[in-house]
Amino acid sequence: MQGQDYEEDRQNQHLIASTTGTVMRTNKLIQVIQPNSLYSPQTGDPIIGRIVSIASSKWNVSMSLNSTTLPASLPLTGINLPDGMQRMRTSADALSMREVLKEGDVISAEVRMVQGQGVGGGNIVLHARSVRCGKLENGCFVMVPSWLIARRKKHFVVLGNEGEEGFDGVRVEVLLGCNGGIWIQRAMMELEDMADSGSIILEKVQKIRTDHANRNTTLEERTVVAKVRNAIEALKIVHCRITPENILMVMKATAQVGCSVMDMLRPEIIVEITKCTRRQT
Amino acid sequence: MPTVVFSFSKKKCEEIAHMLQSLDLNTAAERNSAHLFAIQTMKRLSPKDASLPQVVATCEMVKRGIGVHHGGLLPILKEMVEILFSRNLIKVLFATETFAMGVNMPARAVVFNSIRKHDGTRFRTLEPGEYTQMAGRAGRRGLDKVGTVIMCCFGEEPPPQLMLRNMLTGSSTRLSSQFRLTYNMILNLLRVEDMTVEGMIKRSFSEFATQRALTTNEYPKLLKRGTKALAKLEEEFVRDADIRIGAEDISHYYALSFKLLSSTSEGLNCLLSAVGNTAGGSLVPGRIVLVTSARKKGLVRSPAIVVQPPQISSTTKAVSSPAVCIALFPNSYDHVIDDNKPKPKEFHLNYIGTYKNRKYLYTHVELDEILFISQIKHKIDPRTLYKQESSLGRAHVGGASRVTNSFFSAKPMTRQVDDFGFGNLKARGKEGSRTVEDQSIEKVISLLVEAEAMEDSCSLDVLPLKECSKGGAFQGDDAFRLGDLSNQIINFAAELRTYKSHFHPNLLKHYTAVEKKESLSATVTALRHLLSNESLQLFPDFLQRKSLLKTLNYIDENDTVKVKGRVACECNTCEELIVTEMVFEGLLNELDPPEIVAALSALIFQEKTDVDLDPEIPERLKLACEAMRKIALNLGQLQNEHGLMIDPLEYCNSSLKFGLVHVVYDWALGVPFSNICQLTSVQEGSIVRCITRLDELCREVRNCARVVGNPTLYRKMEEASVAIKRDIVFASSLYVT
Repeated sequence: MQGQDYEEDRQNQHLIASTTGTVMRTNKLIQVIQPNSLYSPQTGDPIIGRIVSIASSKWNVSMSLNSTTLPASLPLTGINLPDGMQRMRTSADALSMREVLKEGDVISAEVRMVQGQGVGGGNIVLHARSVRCGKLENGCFVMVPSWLIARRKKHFVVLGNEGEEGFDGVRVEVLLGCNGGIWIQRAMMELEDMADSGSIILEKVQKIRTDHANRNTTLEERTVVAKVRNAIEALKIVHCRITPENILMVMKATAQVGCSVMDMLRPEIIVEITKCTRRQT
Repeated sequence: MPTVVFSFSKKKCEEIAHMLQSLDLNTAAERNSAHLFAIQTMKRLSPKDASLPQVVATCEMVKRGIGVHHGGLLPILKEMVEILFSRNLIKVLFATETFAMGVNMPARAVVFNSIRKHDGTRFRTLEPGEYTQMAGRAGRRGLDKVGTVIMCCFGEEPPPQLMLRNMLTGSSTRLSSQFRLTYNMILNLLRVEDMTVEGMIKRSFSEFATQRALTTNEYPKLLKRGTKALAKLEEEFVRDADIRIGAEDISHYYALSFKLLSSTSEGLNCLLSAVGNTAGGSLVPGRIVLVTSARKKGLVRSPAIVVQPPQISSTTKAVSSPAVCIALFPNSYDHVIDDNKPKPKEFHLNYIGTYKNRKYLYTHVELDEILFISQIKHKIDPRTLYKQESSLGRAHVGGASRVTNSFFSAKPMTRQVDDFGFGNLKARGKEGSRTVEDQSIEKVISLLVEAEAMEDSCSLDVLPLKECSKGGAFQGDDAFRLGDLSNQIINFAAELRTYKSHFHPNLLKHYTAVEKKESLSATVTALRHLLSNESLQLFPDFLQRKSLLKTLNYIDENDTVKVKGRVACECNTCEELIVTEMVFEGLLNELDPPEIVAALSALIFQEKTDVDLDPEIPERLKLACEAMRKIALNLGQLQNEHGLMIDPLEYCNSSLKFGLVHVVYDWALGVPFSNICQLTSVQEGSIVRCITRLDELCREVRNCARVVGNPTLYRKMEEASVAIKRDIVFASSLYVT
């Protein structure tokens, strides 16, 4: 069946791929998965992006480091209002968009729709109405190539629970966006318990978020966040998949080697701490 | 006037309206306005369509003030009839029950052509709710003083009064959950991070009752308390292990006793329902049985003699009153006399007596407290041993229990002369001479002590329940089951005696401790199960569907949605699995747009037609339809294998209906509507509805093509959409101007 990654060679009745990569077959569909390709958004992917500009009743969000590739839009109806109320967005809301999200803010959102044809997606529409999505503050942003992040069940994970070495008791939340953006912050703990109980009240969540934003991070928390960031950088440098398990392994290795946060990015140390991840692949 | 006549079949509506061809109910002015409106409606249609037979007939009828409304009409005609009716230009309207659901169409009178209808599975009378809905159309607010409802009775006599009363005054149908798990929903929920399918199921109406009970009964708190208490008991148990010398195997002993108790009770139940209240001689008075009821009564492995067999209610065949026995307490039993409670009278229930330093108890023995029945049977006279309380003031259900000895005993140790011929017996005097009862009770106790000794030394023989089953009316498997059970009982009993605990003098205390622990643990497990996901009604269904999706490669082992899954998410209108398989098998690749649309119509069209695949359609299309059928059969088969109760053939036939394939093919090619109507017996309204839904499906398949990355299919679907969107099928609604 004709897809988008290959062409037919009429003479020999062969199919020739037009790009390099691994071949994947599903029934009669043949796909060529490229190792380094631009992020192609699918509905339901969680992403981490940055606000580039404000247009009429929507924000323009960029999902890559370069703000022109992969433009996406987050409409005004796609966010939760700060007071938590559910109502129609009025013109007053449209005029005060800047108070909610400014240019340069980092947000987490989900892809709602990809309109139009094409690999990169014609027009990507986001929405940030679920509990996990919204403005991200008081944390650290890392950008990695999008192909290092595999699609999994939970993209927003909490690390540093009991039994995990290297965290010194600090719990850290890592949000892995499918577009390659990663956000690290200290864990907003109450969110976990509420998610289990099944009924999440929006106002409570908003309060937790603002608390988290306003509270200053202590030195220990900042150290651990920095360690996690360096761990991710290390994984990026050795081209290893960024998964929670890999991050945990690197943190454990760092604790065993006993180096400081700054030393983690030295080439020899990187080789050392990422040895464990290489052994498995 | 105006009146609505409800019939329950479209054909009937047409027939009746046809019969009134000569009737004219409109004045000249009204006829004019109706005519004008009809012409306005016609303007929206192309001239060819305006000459369709249905259109012409309806317009003609409408001018005379008669209207017809049912699902087979073209939508634009339906709207026209509705608007004219609301304007009072139609005096009599023949409709099906869908008209009752319409907004703002009241009439002065409502006529029911019949009160029975076919609801898809069977022919039945109207439900009260449906009746109310339809009859409620009668009477226009502000215009009529009363609304009239007339029921036609075409038979000899009117319908029975009871049926009518139920229909008119009965309560409407209860709300029941129609929540169904579909693959589309499962896949969409698996894509989103926040929601889980279990959460969705928990919030549906079907789980409303159970979830509310969980919160009101505070099961989570109970569970926490129970787990804590259980942990404490376990600790205690381990701590006291050194006290239990000689009875280390008490836990296994308990488990085995439990199994034996349940087997015996099942066997006895079976016998009781088949052969009568003495269970074929096993529970006849004088029989020695071994009972265990540690916590409630303080008996463990205690011999007991049956004094009165259980009573069975003749109506329900269940035990209405358990057997009464005299049980011997173990040596270690410590009887605490509670002075506050009323002392039970001698020879009555719950009486505890002493003889030669052994205590005995009159008690009810439930079937699940009997360890096993021994072969020993003594001759005793139950009437001297046991005196039942009188039954005055107690109502017996079914009246099956006969009270043999009912008399009040004013003072203990005195007897009344009764009719059963105990004439010789002397009344007890104060000198202390023994009465017959004392003698018999002493005899009984010694028998029991003897039985206990026998059990300790050489073990009592177990009565095989099989032998008691003679002369009973058994059903089918019951006889085999009884045989199995009786063998099981004998084996278990023999095994029981291999445990050291069986002969331990302090067995009662240890057994009670274990019983407490085990029963609490059972309660905790039951609570935990209730609160978990497994107790959701739809959960097994969900697991089966998920495993099917994994087999078909829609999701991977971690429940992440793959390409096929994402394609299936796009399909909302019809069977998503079949469409996805079609796309991935490349079925739609060689077909051109009209053929694609025709093939897809099989998924949308849901009515029964006799004609299957028309032989006049092109070869490629026929092959495609055959392939679709194969896919459907395959899917049905797979679903069956995964445990979903779906018959493959029935699945295939219900999801694929090829009746309109030819029609849609011709329509997509550009054939005018009048011609395609003649191709089939399906009514015009259904054709129009099918094609409109088909347009929606085309859009979804186009999205699927985008997800997959197939631009040719994308373009083909767009062409197909354009090809079917024309003329009368897509004429805009009259309500939207």
